[in-house]
Amino acid sequence: MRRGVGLGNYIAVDSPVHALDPAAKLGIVSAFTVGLFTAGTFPGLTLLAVTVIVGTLAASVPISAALRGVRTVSLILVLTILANALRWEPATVALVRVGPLAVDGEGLASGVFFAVRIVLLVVGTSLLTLTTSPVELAGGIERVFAPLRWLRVPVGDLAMTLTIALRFIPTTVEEADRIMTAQTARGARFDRGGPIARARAYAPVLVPLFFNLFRRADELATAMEARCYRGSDGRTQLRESRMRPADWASLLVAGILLIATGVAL
Amino acid sequence: MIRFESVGFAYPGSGGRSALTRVTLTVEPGELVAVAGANGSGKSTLARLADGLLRPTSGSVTVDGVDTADDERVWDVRSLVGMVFQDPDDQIVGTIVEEDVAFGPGNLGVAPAELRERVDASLAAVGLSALSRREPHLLSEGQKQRVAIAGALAMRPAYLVLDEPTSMLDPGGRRSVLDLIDGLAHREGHGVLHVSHDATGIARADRVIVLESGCVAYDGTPAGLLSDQAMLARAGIALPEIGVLADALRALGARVPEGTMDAESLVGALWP
Repeated sequence: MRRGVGLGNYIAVDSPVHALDPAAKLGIVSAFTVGLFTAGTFPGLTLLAVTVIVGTLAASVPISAALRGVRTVSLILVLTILANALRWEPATVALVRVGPLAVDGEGLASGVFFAVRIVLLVVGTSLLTLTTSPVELAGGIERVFAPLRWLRVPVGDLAMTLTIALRFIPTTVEEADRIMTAQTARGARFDRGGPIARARAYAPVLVPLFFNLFRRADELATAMEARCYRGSDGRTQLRESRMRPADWASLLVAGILLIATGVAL
Repeated sequence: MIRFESVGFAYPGSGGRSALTRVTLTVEPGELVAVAGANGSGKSTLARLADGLLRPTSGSVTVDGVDTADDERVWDVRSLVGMVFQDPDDQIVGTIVEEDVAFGPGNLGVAPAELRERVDASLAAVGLSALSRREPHLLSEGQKQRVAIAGALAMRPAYLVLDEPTSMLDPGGRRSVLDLIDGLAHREGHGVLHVSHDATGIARADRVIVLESGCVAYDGTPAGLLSDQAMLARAGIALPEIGVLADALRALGARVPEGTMDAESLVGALWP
């Protein structure tokens, strides 16, 4: 029983965006997000929109994959536009009137502005997970937070924990699947009754699942000890990521864009 | 050499009931030693003692002269002895095959360039070079177990301890892992301790040790064990059908060597 559980929405292709250092990408996405919320005008938003479009094209991921997140927030988009555009007997000149409700240009414009901002946020941040595998991302997070070591935060161990959690997601899903099948074969029903009854039906799945997870954690700890794991100090990795000129350059461009949208536009 | 010198072991909280009693054995480089025995006979305990994961309650375990009970040097022992466990899912740490293989040597602080070389060589040794970028959960159980073996090999150990590595595999996966273990001992010169209660695995060893309630009940050649029906029954080892057939043919006067376990060698013996 193999469903090929994928992690996140990572698409493995070779592109300049994929090749960027995950730490640089985290920096760029942070700058982009801040820029998005400081940009107060349509020109500023247009600049960011152009950035997202260029990024998506450079990442050579399917447009449909990049837009997938937008579908999940479509209801929020509609509500945002309506909430801004609809006025109750507006003082200004209305574009459309339905009974006491009216739509005016100013409201519509700000509704569209906020909606575009949400779309850019969703597409822009999904570019990060589309082009960076979870492991690379964990490594990037480790390096971004590396300075916290000075505060005695065990950054390396936390990153290792994150990596192991990612590694065991598919294994756990398969196991849950197997237990559910076994319980179904004994007459358990997961699709009947109200929300509370359904939640209760999962107890016979969760108990063995957690039992197995604890057993696995114990075995894994033994195996890691046998493989000489002594914490992350002095550990070397296959892919020593280091910021290259291209990474610094793209981070610089992101910084300039942030200042441009925040100050000028 | 891995040397067990009159080793006794009791788990804490077992009320002094010992899991192993006065076990003495050695594993030399290039030697493949199988350890068999019924469930609960102490096989896994023995495997964990060889790597310093457990320490003997009495007696001593040394690896190339280093005592596993020496706190200062237990990591030397663990880098000398590679461990492979029963369930590959419980020992694969990495989210990508090559990253998992790099985990052990990475822990030893091997420089990145050499790390890459070791990973490539270990994956080639287990025949998985083509799958180096795969996610482990997309592999078959046999392939996963070979990833685990590659992970142990990448640490360049002198010895390998495998705790029932084939018990969760299908026949195809089992055969490929057994071929690999055979080659590691006899071609690559590793000293291998292979815990197994599968007759086909035992047949390929140079020496077999049968444990019974924590004591050594048999120490000798696989052929000697496999022709001793009483000992096989005590150790809980079932001969495969081909083995039973080979024994019957030998009893009828056919020239079949003792310890014939698979169809190919039986056919080869009958029609040379």
